[in-house]
Amino acid sequence: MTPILLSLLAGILLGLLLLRKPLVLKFSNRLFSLSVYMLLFLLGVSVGRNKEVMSNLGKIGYEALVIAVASIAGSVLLSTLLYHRLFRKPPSHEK
Amino acid sequence: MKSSLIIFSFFVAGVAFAYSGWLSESVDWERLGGWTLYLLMFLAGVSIGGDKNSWHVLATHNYKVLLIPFTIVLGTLAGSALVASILPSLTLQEGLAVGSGFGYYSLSSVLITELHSQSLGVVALLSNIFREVATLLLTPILVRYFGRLAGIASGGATAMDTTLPVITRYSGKEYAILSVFSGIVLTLLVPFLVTILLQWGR
Repeated sequence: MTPILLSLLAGILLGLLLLRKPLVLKFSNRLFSLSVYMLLFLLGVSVGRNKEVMSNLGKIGYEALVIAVASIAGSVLLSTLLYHRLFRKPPSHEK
Repeated sequence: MKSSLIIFSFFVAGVAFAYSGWLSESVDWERLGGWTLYLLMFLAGVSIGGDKNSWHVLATHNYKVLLIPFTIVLGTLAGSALVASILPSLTLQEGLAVGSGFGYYSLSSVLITELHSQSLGVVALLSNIFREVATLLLTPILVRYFGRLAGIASGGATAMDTTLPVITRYSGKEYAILSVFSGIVLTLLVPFLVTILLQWGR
């Protein structure tokens, strides 16, 4: 078990204990957004300093786009199968 | 959409500051990033555990509904694996890790940066933002040609919040709850799947 997953599990347990404490949860969610902002700013800073990443931005963007398109295509196609097998209502016989 | 713009602008601001040399060299991802990541994972856990809605939704649905996120995981991983096998610059592991963000770009990019590399972190950030934006733009067309689950599938983890309005509008109100459910399951899976994928074989 990695420290990262342990932190996550510890958080889930604490969250369960705090189910009836909406104010604490609200604070925690706020702190979560703030740390996301900070980490992405820091990621930006080190990317901006990283010559290797900066000179490869085109390639990085291309890979990102292709993975996004393939992920969407794969899941949409499989979901079509699921939809037609289990979710679409049979045609009704009413007028 | 608004929140992704805010988050993305923090990233761009960081790049711009560093590139223009305005920041002193003392601000350091390596030092701050690793530490804050544990806090971030912990807080992500708290918001998952403390969300009454997600436990309720998870507890009251049958196997048929669980097949939706399962299908999305399968389709996403198959698509990413295909790309990784075609592009020589990506290993299978890297492609799968980026795909496993399911549109949850903030957590997956930070996690991938820490566990793998900055360049793959940026790939994950962009790729998962693309997934969200594409879902917002394409859901009307996808639903029309691929059925009412298509928007939910395309949205991935974002189907529970940012892309929920457009999905509800084009798939119908009765699909809103399925969309939230699937989004919650995928959101829960992201940290586990990304961590496991990047640490296998180490």
